[in-house]
Amino acid sequence: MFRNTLIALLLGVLAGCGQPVSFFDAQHYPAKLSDWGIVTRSGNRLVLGQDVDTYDLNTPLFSDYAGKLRTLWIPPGESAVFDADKTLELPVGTILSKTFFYDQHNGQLIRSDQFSGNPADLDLDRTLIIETRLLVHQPHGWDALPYVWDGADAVLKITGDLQTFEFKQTDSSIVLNYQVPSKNECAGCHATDHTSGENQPIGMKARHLNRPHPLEATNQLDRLSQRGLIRLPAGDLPANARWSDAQLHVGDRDVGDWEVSDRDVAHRARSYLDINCGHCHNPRGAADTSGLMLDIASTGPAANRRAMGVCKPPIASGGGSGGNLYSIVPGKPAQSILSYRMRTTDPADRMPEIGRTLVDAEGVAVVDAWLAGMSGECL
Amino acid sequence: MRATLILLSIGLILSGCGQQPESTGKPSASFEESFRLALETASSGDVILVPAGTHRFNRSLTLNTDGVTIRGEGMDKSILSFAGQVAGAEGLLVNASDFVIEDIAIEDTKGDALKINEGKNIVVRRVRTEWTAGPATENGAYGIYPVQTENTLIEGSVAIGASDAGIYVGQSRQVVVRDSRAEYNVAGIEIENTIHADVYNNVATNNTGGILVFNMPQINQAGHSTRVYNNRIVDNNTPNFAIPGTAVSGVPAGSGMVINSNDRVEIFDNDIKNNQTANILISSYFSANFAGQRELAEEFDPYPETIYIYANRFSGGGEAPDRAALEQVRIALFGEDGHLPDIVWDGIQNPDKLAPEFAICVNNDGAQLLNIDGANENKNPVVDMSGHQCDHAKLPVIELAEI
Repeated sequence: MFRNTLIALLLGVLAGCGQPVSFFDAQHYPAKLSDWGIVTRSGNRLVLGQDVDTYDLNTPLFSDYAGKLRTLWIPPGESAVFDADKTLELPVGTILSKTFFYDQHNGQLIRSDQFSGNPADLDLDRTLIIETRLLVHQPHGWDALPYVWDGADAVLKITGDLQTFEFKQTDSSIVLNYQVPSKNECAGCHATDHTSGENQPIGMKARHLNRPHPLEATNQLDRLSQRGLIRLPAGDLPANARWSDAQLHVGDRDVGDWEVSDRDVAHRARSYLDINCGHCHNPRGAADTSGLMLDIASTGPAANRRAMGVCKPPIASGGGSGGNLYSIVPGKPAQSILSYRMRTTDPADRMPEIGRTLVDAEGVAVVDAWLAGMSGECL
Repeated sequence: MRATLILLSIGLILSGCGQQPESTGKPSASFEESFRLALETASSGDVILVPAGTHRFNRSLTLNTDGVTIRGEGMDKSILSFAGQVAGAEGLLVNASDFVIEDIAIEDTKGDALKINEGKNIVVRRVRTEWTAGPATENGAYGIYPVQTENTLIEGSVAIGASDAGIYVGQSRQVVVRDSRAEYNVAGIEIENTIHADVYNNVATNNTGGILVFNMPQINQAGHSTRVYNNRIVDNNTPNFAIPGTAVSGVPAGSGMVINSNDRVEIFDNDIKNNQTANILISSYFSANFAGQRELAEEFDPYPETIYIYANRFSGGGEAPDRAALEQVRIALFGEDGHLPDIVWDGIQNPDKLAPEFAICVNNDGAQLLNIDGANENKNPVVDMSGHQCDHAKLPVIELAEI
């Protein structure tokens, strides 16, 4: 009885004043984002639909310092199946959304990746929302739909978009060629099993979700459980590193200041590579052609060190080698292709191939610290 | 959505056969957007037409649907130009099977021009990939690049200016590359970690290395069984412009053919001429100037085995090898005005596989093989045909399944 009341209360909080969500089949995708009812604009606010919940990830994908608002909607009466490693098995009818935005200052975009995750903290008078990507679970699989914002609503743009902005960095501004991925480019990351070619959500894994909810202290997995949407196993659940903590420690690229153990450094770096690279660099991913495996299962202490890049020569990197001989030279990030690919902005060489045009200074610092602490040498 | 598609198709068909082509080189924005939409919304069986003209793109194109044909009006008429590209690591990326692309050019991409990642039944016909400013390290890596494909035909195509390989077939099975031309690339045509490939009637000229048959470690599939025949492999003397660290950066300028770590390679009936390092180089992974040569995964076989060279027409070549060690051997053994023999081998063998079935067999009117004694820093280079006057069973013809 008490439990039911609690659920009702939680649902009441979730429901807010949002509009009901509509689900469309693949033949009838609406041109306007607002028709879904997932995320809509009301004045200078973004409003979530009824039963649409926001969530956050431990270590997120780097997206050129954009702020990101993530939402999950599971159809009433349905539930998900837990998996300790793979993407949670979400029911048909589920809709995930991710809205990308930047705060603006004097006509320039500024870094916005420290967003709280609470839509109430967004003030659209000073924030430019660029796109909302939907992942819609149909009976045939997950469809990816890019919507590009234009004023009060966003419009479906299957072909994606390329928008140019001035982006303000610490002491200068640079041109940001912001890429809205096309439908097929969405699959470039979300077809994590490239052989099947089927899209999968990437963030919806226990290790990414195992952290406090952005609006309250409850752990997100517990919250799903409390809402009756998932049944959790007993015991500790896997968790990637909390990126906000990692950023805190990195400071301004000064890796030497870290007061963390080597194990923490490794966990942060592996968490970073897992979410930024593992969707392609896994044994079934699009980048299995390279023989380089960077998903978290492939970079652990028991991993084949060569497969995760240690003293591994490139296969088909082209200029992506940056003139270096190995993916990872232990102790020498400056000689490691892995680091070079994160530090370059050349479209032919940078990694990830899609979704990054700027350098993620903190990401580089974390990965370089991990490489710097590795022992061994390449003969 | 459906209505939009049909309208789009009609638009494309019309623009394909009726309208005036863009001849000014100005961006034809409407076609570019409709072409991209056609790729994104394609259904199996679609034929997407590309009218004559230069169509400019500043970000990659991606196709994920099986059974699609992209058809231009000719490799010198229908041009997808990526000069000034700001996003995407390829020009056209295809993640699909039953794919045909023909009579079209892809120019000046930042990265690879045409990458086909995992698919069966692939046809690349009369396609040109080119970096139009000529050889440069900044050029994209690969021109025509199928990887992890099966039943793949590349024919009548042209690849120019790749900073790695012009035509690069990686980790594939059942492949035919024929009637094509590769010029001014680091590697003209490269067959890598591929099982059963026929490479014939091609011209490889003015590359750093003409035709390469390689195996690389850390890849699930070890390649073998490639036939290279009836090709013209001449004047591949362009200085190596690959970025250091890549496999092909170790290829000496002036290499006609290079076999590295690959097995069961048959080379016959080719014209191989005037390649200044050597007309044919055969090496183990150890002396390929690659990184990581001392630490190899146990499952990787670094030795070239069961190589069969016969009935080729050699002339010229070997007079100016692009390696100090080879140059010293040339002068020491053949004199200031001499040249290296047509076939140069590093001499590094698997001690457990010295049986005749693994030998390099040369049955080619007087062509000589030089063993440079690579294992001992070239201390005892020697021309000794005794272990090489042999024959292997011939490899079967590749029969591609009907596409």
